Amino acid sequence: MTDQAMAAALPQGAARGFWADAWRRLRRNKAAMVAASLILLIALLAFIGPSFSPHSFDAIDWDNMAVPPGGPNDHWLGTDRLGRDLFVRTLAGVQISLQIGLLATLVSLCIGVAFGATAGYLGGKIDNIMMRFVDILYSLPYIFIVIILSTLFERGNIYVLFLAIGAVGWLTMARIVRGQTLSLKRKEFIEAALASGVGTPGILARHIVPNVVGPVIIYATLTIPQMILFESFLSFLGLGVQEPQASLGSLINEGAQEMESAVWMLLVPAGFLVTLLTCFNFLGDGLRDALDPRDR
Amino acid sequence: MSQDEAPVALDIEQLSVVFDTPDGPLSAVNDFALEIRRGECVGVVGESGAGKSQSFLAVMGLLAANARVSGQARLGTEPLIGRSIAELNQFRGVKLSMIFQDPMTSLTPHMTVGEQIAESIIHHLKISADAARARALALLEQVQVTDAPRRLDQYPHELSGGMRQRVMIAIALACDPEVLIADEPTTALDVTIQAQILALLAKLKRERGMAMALITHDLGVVAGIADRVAVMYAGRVVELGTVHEVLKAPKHPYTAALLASMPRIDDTGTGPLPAIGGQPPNPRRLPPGCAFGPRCERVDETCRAARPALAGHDRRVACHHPLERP
Repeated sequence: MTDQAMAAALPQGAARGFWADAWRRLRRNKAAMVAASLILLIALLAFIGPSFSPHSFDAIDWDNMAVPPGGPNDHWLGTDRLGRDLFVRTLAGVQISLQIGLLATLVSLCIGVAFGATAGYLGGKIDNIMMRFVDILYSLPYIFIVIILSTLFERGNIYVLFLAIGAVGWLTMARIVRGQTLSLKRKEFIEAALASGVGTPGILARHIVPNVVGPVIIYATLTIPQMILFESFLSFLGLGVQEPQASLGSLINEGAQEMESAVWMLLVPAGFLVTLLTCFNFLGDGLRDALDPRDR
Repeated sequence: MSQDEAPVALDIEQLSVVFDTPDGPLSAVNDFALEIRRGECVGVVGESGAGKSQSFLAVMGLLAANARVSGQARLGTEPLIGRSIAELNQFRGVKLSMIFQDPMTSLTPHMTVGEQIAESIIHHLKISADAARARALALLEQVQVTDAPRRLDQYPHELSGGMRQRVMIAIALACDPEVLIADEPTTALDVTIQAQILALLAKLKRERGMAMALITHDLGVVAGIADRVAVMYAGRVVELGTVHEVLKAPKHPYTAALLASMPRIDDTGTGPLPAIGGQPPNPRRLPPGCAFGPRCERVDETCRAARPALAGHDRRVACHHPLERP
C-alpha cells in the first residue's frame, strides 16, 4: 500500500497523521487545487500587479476618460468615467476585498470557536444563556447594526467595517462549534482525560477545539466569499469603502451605472469577484471532502 | 493474610447512586461498600447493569449530570464524594487513576501517544516538556510497548487495540497512582492480548504496591489476577471474599449460578450450557425482598419479604439461605 510506503519513507510516524492525510486527499482533488492556485495567483497579482502599471489607483488621466480595454494607451483594462486606470483600481479593490474577507473571517473564527466550544462544553444553564444571546443577535437585522456602527464612527473607516462584519459573522460559527462540542463531550476520550485530572481549560484547548478544526476550516473557507460578498453589498449601498478607495463592490456599483455605454467597467471587477468567489467555494468543497472524517 | 495489615487505600462506604430520569428516579447503586488495601486487587463482577462501573465512576466524580450520589469514599484519608472538580483534579490522574474499557475510543485521535501521556505528567507534576517526554518513554517501556521511541510520535489510529490499551495503562500510571481502577480493561481485546494485559497489570500492581479495583463480567479474569472478589447484583454487593473462597465455594446462589454458566474446558458433557433464567430486575421496580429472588431456585417467603443484609466479617454474603460448602 502507498500508506505503508509513505510511513516507511518517513523518519517519524507523526507526518502520516491527520493533516498529512487530509493534504493528500486535497491534492487529489483537481478542482480544489486549481481553485487554490487561482486564489494565490489573484492575491499575488493584487499585491504586486499595481507596481507594474505606470498609473496609481486615484490618478486621473485627462486624455483617456472612459476608454475601453486594448486601446492604444497603457491602460490595460481601460479607464473609468473619471479616467482612472481600471487595472490598478480593480487590483486595489481585490486587495481590500481579500483583506476584509480574511480578517472578518478570522474575527468570526476566534469569537465563534471560543464561544461555541465554551457553551457546548459547559452545557446546562450557561449554554442556554449563551445560545439565547446568539439567537437574539441573529434576529437583529445586521444591516442596521452596520449602519449604526458606520454612523457612530468615521464613515468608510475600513476597520469599523471589519469589526461590524466579523461581529455579525461569528454567530453561525458558534452554532456549528457548539453542535460539534456537544457530540464530542460524551466521547470516551474526554472521560479518560477527565479521569486523568485535566481541568476544563485543558479539555477545551487540547481535546475539544483541535477536534472541531475540520468543520471549522471548511466553514471558514466558505465564510470568506460570504464576507467578500457582504462587503461588496455594503459598498454597493455606499456604506462600505469610500471614494477614492475602491473595493470590488464599489467598482461594480460604478460599473453598473455605465453598463449600457461602457460595459467593461462592470465586467472587469465583476470578473474578478466571480472568479474569487467560485474559487473559494471550490476550495471549501475540497477541504470538506479532505477533512471529513466520515470519508476516511 | 499480609494484605490485612496493609493500610486501606480506597474505602467506600454506603455509596448509593440514583439517576433522575424523565421516568422517575433510577437507583443504580445501593449501599455499595468496599475496602481496597494497598497492594491488593479486588475484582468486582456482575452482569451488565449491576452497577459495577457506576460505583467507581461515582468515586472518580465522572457520573452524568443527572446522578445523585450519597455515601462516602475515601482515598487514604481524603474524602472524594461531594468534592468540586478542581479539588478532585488534585487526585484524579495522580493518586487515583482509571483505565477504560474501549482503547479504540478512549484516546484523543489528533494527539500523539507521547503528548497524551505527557499531558497528565506536565499537568500534575509541573515538569518540563522534555522531562515529561522522557518519562512517557520510560512508561511505554514499562507497559511493554514494542519500539517505544517511535510510538511516542505516532497517533492512536496507527496502533493496534492491545497497544492502545497499553498506552491507556501508561497514562493511568503516569503519576504513580495509589489506586488504579480498571473498568473492563480487557473486554475489547482478543483473548491472547487479554492474557498479556492481565499479566502486565498483575506485574505492575506487584511492583508498585498499588491498590487495584478490577471491574469485569469475566470470572476467568478475576480468577487470574484478583486477590478478593466482590459479586454485585442489582446495585448491591451480594458476596465478598477471597478469590479462592468465592470461586471454589460460592455461598450466594447468584455466584454459584454465574460459575455454573461458565463453560469448562474439562467438561465432557454435550448438554446445553446452564443459564440463569429470567432477566435482571428493573432498577425502577426492585422487588421488596431479595433482588435475585425471582430468579433463584432456593427462594421462599422470607426471601420475598425481607432483603438479606450483607452478613459476615471477611467472608460476606447477602442471602437468607446461603449455600453450604459442597
